[in-house]
Amino acid sequence: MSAGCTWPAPRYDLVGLAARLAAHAGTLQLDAALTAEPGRPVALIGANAAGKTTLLRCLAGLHTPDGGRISVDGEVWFDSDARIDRPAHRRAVGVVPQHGVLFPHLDVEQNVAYGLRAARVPRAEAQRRSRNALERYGLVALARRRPEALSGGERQRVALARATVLDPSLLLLDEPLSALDAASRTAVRASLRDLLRERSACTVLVTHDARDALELAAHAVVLEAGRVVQEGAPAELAQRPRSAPVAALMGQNWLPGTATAHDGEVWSIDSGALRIVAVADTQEPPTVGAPAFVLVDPRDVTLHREHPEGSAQNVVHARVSGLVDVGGPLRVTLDSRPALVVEVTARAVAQLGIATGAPVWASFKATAARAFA
Amino acid sequence: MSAAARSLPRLTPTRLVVAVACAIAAAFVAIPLVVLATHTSPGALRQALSDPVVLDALRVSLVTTAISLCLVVGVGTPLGVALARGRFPGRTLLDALVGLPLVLPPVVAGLALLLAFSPSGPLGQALQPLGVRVPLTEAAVVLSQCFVAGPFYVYAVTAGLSGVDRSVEEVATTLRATPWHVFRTVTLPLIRPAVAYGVVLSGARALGEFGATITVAGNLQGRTQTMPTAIYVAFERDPDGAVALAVILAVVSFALLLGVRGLHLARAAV
Repeated sequence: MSAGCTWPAPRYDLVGLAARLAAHAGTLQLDAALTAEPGRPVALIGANAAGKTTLLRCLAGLHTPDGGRISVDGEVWFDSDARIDRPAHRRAVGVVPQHGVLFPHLDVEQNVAYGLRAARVPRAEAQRRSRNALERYGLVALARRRPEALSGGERQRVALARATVLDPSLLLLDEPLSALDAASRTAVRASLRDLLRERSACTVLVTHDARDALELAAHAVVLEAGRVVQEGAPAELAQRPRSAPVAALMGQNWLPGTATAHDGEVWSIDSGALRIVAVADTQEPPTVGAPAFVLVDPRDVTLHREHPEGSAQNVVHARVSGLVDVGGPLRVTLDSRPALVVEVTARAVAQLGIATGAPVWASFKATAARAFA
Repeated sequence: MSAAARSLPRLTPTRLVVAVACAIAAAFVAIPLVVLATHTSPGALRQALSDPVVLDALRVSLVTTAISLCLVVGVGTPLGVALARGRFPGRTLLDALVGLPLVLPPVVAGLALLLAFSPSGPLGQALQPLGVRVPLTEAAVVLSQCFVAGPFYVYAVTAGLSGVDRSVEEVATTLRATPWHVFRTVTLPLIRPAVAYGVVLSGARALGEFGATITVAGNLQGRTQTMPTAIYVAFERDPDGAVALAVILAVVSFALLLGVRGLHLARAAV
């Protein structure tokens, strides 16, 4: 930005979502700003009780903020100064709650058509639109089924069809994949990505899984204790997390320690019981004797049954303390100090006989480890 | 597991206790009813059913119970919603007040109603300019029934509402449904079993109401004499006739119970 160039004050854009909110729920104090452009899904990432769901509920009109303003496509939905608070049923919003929350007394087609009937869409048009939605989400064969007879993935598709049948200006998804088993999660994530790509309205999705953010969102906002701690493109957050929680949320290994020595670009960092050899970050290289941290992508760590002989500078001996299947590669946690997370394929897990408690060797190259100040 | 093992489960101490409890309960309800039925004859029943006094009592009972049920449902539903969902000062007090008739002996309730609605009572005086007199009229019968039967319905509604997942209603509001539309299309269908249960309980209570009715409404044939009061009167001069009346009332009550259950099941199947 050149000097003297002044930008106009941030305005609530005519297209998209612009929100600034203060709210409380229980002990949580939420104070956050959020914008979303049409066609560019925003992921809200955060640990449990970080305020993600509360923020979503404020946008939907299900929770009244203490103050702030929400506007969508130029329409003001909430403005504490102007005393505007549109009730949920007068907001052009679509919500996919956690676990879907279908109407248990209605069949699939009635669930999908609920909004059309509530909005008094003429019968013929309503029928056409609900048929389209059923076809689009592959639900035609299930139209007469009751929710209790559906699988988790099918329920999620019904919830999506129901939320989008009215073409809302703002689509809100609360942990859309958390209720699914690992196998259907991968499939639903892929179809959700296609759907969000072709949608031309705003989407905000809440997740605690970095993979959801990386695959589904164009922009990610990290919440911690009700505040935005970092935001940016999801890949950028994974590359340059600003804090340990953000690194953990993005699924990265964040190893804090002290920079002890260096040989050109190659640094030694003492982190817990480990001495890590890492390459200095070009923008924020560490300094000798000062605190530093090392970032390692779990995909760059290799597991071995025996002590590996090779070029990898970093070799760690530890036991497996956890094994998580979130769809896609498995995440293996090691009990080293500090703990290391490794991503390996299910095939590798089977071949190496990896199970909780099993002793393993982990290795990663110095070039896969980046040292920051 | 073989088919024989499944049809005859092993007798454990727990199962024994449960079986004995079930047997006692069944016998306790069934034996007196069977004895009642054996004490009458088809002839006695036919005779009772052609007696204008009995027919009058049956008509008064059914008509007043129907009116009472309409009032109880009409007032009790919003009241139940307010008690289950509302946040207003005095909610706990109102909740306790609504349940008071449940623990009050019906005769006491009748006495209280009589004093309140007598020409010198506060409510009686309020109604006097309108030319409405309550004691010893059909209105008194309905009033007594509502008083004692209402709480059963209101509490059934609040119990049903407390079992409804609020997030289901919230989703409906995000789909353009106004609060009233949500209540009609989501809440009400979900509490239908509880509402049906409340209708059965309070309907049965209203149909069998005796203590308050005889105190406030009296026992005028064709006007305020209901089946229970008719049975009471008959018992003093003609015990056999009273038994026939009792059997008729039991059959009518049972038919109503089955009717409401059938209606509920039919609706649930839609």
